[in-house]
Amino acid sequence: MKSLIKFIYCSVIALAVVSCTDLEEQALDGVIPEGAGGSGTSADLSGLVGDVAALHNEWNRNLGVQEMPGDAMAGPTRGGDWDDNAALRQIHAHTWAPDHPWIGATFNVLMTGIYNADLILNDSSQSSDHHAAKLLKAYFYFHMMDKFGQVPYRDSYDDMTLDAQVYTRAEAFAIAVSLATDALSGLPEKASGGADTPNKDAARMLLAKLHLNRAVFTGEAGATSFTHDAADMTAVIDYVNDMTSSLNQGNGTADGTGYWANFDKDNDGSNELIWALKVEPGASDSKGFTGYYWRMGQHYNQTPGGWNGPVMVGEYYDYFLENGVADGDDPRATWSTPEIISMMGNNVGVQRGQIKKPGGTEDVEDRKGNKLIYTKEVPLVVLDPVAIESAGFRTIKYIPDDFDNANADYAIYRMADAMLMRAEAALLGGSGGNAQADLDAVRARVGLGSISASLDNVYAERARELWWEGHRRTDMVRWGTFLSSKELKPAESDSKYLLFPIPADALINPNMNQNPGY
Amino acid sequence: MKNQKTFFSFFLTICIVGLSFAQSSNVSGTVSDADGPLPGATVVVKGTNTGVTTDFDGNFSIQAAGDDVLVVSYVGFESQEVGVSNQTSISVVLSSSNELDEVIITGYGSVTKRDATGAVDAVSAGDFDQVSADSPAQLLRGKVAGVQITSSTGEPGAGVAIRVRGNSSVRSGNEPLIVVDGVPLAGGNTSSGLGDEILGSGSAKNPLNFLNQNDIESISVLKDASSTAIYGSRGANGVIVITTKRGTVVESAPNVTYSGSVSFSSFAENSSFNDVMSRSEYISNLPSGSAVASESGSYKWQDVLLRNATSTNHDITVTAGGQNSSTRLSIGANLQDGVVNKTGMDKYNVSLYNSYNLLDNKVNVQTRVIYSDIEDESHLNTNTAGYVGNLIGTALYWRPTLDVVDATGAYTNVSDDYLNPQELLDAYDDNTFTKRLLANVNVSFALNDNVTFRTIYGVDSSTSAREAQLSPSMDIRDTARADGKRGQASIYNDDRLNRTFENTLNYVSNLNGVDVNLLAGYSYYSYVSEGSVLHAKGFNADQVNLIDNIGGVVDVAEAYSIGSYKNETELQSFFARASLTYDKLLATLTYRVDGSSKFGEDNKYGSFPAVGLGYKLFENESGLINNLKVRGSWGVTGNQEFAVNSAISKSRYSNASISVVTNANPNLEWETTTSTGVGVDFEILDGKATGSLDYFQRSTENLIFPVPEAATKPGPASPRFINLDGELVNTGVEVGLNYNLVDSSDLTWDVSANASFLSNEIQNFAGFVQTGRIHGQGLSGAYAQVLTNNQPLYSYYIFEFQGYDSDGASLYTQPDGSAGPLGSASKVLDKQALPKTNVGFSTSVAFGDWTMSTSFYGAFGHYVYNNTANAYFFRGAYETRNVPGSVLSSGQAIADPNSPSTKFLEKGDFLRWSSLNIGYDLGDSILSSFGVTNARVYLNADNLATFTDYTGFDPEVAIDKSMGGVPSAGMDYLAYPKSRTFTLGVNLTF
Repeated sequence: MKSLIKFIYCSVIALAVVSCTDLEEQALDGVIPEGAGGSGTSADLSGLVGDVAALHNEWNRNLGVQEMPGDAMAGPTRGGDWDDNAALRQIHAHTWAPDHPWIGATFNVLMTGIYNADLILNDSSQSSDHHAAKLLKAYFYFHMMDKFGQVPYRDSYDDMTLDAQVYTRAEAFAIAVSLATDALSGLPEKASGGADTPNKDAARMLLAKLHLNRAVFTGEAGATSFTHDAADMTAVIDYVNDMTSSLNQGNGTADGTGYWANFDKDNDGSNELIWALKVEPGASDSKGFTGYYWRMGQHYNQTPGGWNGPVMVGEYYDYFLENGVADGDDPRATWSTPEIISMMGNNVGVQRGQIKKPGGTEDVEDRKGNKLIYTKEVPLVVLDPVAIESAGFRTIKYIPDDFDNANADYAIYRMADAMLMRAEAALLGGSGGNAQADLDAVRARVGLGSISASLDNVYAERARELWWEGHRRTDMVRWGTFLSSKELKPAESDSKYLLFPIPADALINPNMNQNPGY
Repeated sequence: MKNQKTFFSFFLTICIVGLSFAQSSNVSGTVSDADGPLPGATVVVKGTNTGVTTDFDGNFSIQAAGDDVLVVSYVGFESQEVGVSNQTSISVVLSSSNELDEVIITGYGSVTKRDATGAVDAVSAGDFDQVSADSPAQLLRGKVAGVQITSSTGEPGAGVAIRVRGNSSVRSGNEPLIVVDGVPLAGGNTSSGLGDEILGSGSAKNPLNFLNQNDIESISVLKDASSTAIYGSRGANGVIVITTKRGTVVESAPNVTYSGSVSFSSFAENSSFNDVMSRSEYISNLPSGSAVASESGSYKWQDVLLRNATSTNHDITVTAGGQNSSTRLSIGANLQDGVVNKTGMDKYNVSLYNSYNLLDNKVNVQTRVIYSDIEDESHLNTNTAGYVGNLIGTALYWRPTLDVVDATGAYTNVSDDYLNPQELLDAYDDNTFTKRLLANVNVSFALNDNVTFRTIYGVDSSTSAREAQLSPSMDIRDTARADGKRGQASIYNDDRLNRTFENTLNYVSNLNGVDVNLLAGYSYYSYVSEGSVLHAKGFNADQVNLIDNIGGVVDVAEAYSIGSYKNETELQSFFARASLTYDKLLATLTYRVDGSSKFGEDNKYGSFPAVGLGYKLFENESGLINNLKVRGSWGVTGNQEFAVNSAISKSRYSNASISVVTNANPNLEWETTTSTGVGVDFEILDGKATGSLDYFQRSTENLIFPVPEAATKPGPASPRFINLDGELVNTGVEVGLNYNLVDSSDLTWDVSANASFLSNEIQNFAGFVQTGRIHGQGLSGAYAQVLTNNQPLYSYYIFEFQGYDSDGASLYTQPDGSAGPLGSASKVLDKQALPKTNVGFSTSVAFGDWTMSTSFYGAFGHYVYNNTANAYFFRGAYETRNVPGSVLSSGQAIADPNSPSTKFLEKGDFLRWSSLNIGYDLGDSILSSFGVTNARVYLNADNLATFTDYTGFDPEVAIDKSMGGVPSAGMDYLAYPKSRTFTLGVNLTF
């Protein structure tokens, strides 16, 4: 009996020892940061510029969702390649759904930027960067309004277990204007060669774009025609008039040299760049990447080599042939120098027909030994075995440096865009502008003659001047042409496609509602 | 070997010391049933440990006093008590019991089916198919209604998915809690999977492989909340209770048995399998002038990939009983070769059981030690292979006109993305070494006639090392370093240390006609997991043993990537149960409070109540209905199998910078499943038929999910785990029947069948969560399944294929219902990956010394996604790669891509003839001169035939195609093929 008691005694002791656990969880292979429940992260301006870069450094973010749903770019499937679960075809044919990977990724990139801007703006020790952070936050708001129509926000980041609230498009518009106006008041004027630093011209451009699109952003969802307020149009003109940037023109640059100075490896000296992402191999403050501007379309056997993917749609190329301009005479689509021919064998701009090896004399063949001849006609699924690799015009917008590297800064905003916006605003009732002078200046810069200053001509000129620069979808929505039938999309699309759907994942936030129609 | 001998003789000494001699007079007799004498029946003097077993003629002889009572028992028969009454010779005739009297080991106790208030079932050793099962889970396959066992592939030791009453969690794990001899095992794997960015990832081995089938006495399945709530926050997915064999309870000399078998396995070709082309078919389809036509080689994928495999199994068991002790020792070796070359599993087990009574039988100490040493040999059977392929992918696509080895013995080399399957087979090695020790001491202590105190202390310790290497001799695209150096090696170490400490107090009495059984307890569990990984690439071209000389890597600075992890989970629980029986009314009330370190700071403890009620409408009556009990249950259980450190903020260092891994959620709690069920257990037709019928509904809430990045914006990219709104509802009907067709003196014939019908739906759920990742060329980002509102888990969401147009372009259903191109098609959501119906059937016949049994199982109503065909079988692959002949005749254009669609979605319905066993009892006559007292030989056939329309290797498949931690179901991608096995075995008793 004694040992029995001893046994119970021992058991009770053991029980007491073990049962003292407080079940507190430990991070044995990490650390528990201060302020559990908060975000646990911080941001700085360099990182925030990196968020802008994240929007532009992959071909299937801003470029893909702005150019491919419009009339400019298509991504045909080539045999087993470029199928990607129909992602490219859906974007061009307006059949995307809330699970489309590019749409979800673009949403996350923009909202990451807004979050990091808030972290900087909430940190008084970074007050010297607050005007820049406001510009960038307003820039991300512009894209959120433009693409998704609503913007989630948090008044406080103290309790991240709460769901974010959501601004409507009109509420977000007012906030974006206010942020950009604040930024304009505090940012410096653009220094010479300083387009890669946030500056007053960038803020003016963003404000001009906000006012130009105000009727779209604050109007009824699904509308395809807009009544623009004259005061907004005058504001557009005033902001552009205030800019210090200017077109690259004069001194015999009308052969295309002036235009391509914006896209060549030494473009940081171009005063036409309003705001740019610095691209310089090896530099620690290099944020951008323009390499996919040739990689995505160039054939595997071309120099420089590429991925043999997206093409310029044939009917979009026809814009370059309007007003009696002969094929090849618009330097924005066809330009080369002896160095370019020697290095790559073909023109930059839009590549058509037989592709040449470096030096420009020998023909390139595809992987099956057929002549590599880029054709204007291209279906969304290339079924002709001979044309699998060659269908469709390819483009080079940014020119690689001698080592096949990206070395040209990425132009977020460009003066030619601002001038065409000023022309559009003048034609829409704004005062203080001269539409004809702006349109003529943009055309004369590439050696082309005057055409009448009509809205249609401004629209077409934007297509020629700003091809594949990531503005086309916004332009087409504003002009009411986005839903119309086009070469590879025979039917008019449903008005829901004017906005992208809210990504499926974001709807787990109960304050977020799916855009109408999805 | 010397140590083993020493150990063995030490053990025998213990047994012999335990023997002692009783002082009463001698009583002898026979035990028989209606058919004749029963050898091996147990005769025990009631209230003592004195007992004997009957010999082959049913005779026994025992020392007993004139006023003693003998308890005579035999498996499958109702026990009988007989007073000695000063007789010296006693004959006892036992009558066979039935299913209702089978004792089912449940959580912290046991119950007969007759008295159960919850849905419980059990399979005991006698019901096991005589297959050499890798995992105890396979022993349940097709045997228990409502339990689905799915082998992920046919590889020896591969993972097995066990589902009790369906899937009740979105991503926190759906595996039931496994309890071995009272010790709840930690969930999760004990060995590592493979993870390689180029060669793909592979699955971990089944963590239950450590148990030897020969050591298992019974496996119980607790299906409803009334029976699982005693396991609280770990009971939501059902509980599997495994009880290992014990020593004999009677005083006896050591009894030695040996079982041995040899098995021959071969590829079990499915008659619907859509094979790639033979050499002659391949050539006959070549267009004129094709360069391939001049190739003179020949190749059959079966010749390179497959083999006829031989496996052997040996088990030696010694049992002994003494006056105060009983002991069982078993040693097993199971050497299993897979039907794919260079795969297999070698398993060595030692298991020791000892029970010892002391202090006038008031204290009983049971000790169990199970040790296993497993070596898994695997190959590049990855789940995520791309265009380049894995072992099975390359074997299928290599064209049949090319020799793998030329006349000089050199490998035929085509290119670094068109791999030679023989070269890959030879160049790649993958071995996993796992050692696991499960030991526990279970002490029960009778405080008085009514109260028992019991304490269990258990340790489960395992170490595992997975070692994989690719020889530098082989050039696979993108596996070389920038400097061109090739070859890679990976070592994954995983260690687990799990401790269990449980204390229970049990009160049993009859108060005013009410049978009362009260239980109260406290448990503490600690689960520690740690491991490390080392990858190295870029070796000297002629180095062979990369794993064992990983420092041979060239240019050390660039060669390695390393990592390690460690985590601990602690659980602490208080629980109580009352089982009450009054006349025909039965009630069980359960309550458990569970605390877990994984739960959020403000939610450390959860409560899990349950109630079960039963009423016996008929009890022991004759005629049509003999016994019939209705029962109903309601209860709440939880699931906490989510990742450690989900509730806290955690950062980790990586490359000298620190980044957030998870963000805290102090409110994070377990997933809660509320179950309601009704059922009947019955015995009808003069005891010839027994069965059960159940209906249940289970609704799971608080679904644990990482907030997707898009939903937490603006905010950090790292996730926070939340309890998401929505319910996952499983509704089902289960039926199980046993029928004794013939029961005569020389022939018995039993049949049993079960079926379950299950529907699964997510409700009030805001998410649209992707899973079922599809891999292959041009398929980046593709997926096949979603979790979304008002649909079953893992519903297929893909384009609907409508055939080809005249140009050979694929047509898909458009939003208006017409057929058109993919660019404008819309996806459809109407097929499910989870079977709606599962069935099992088995029958056994005993005729004289012969026995025969056979089993079937099947699953219906679901679809399998054939990612293999999606990735590899398209028209454009030919003439470079082999494809099935049907691809050439399909009308598909050479340039038409294989976009993910219903083209690759196939009905997964199957019925499998899973086993046939024929045995013959040699008795003691032939081998008695060798000391053999009984011998049985048997022939077993496993996986004899599968009836299915599925065109892949096998419809029973579950390749891990998870995305973002959300599992998939029913996806097939280059799955290791299943085998057909014939086994010749012998069981000898000495």
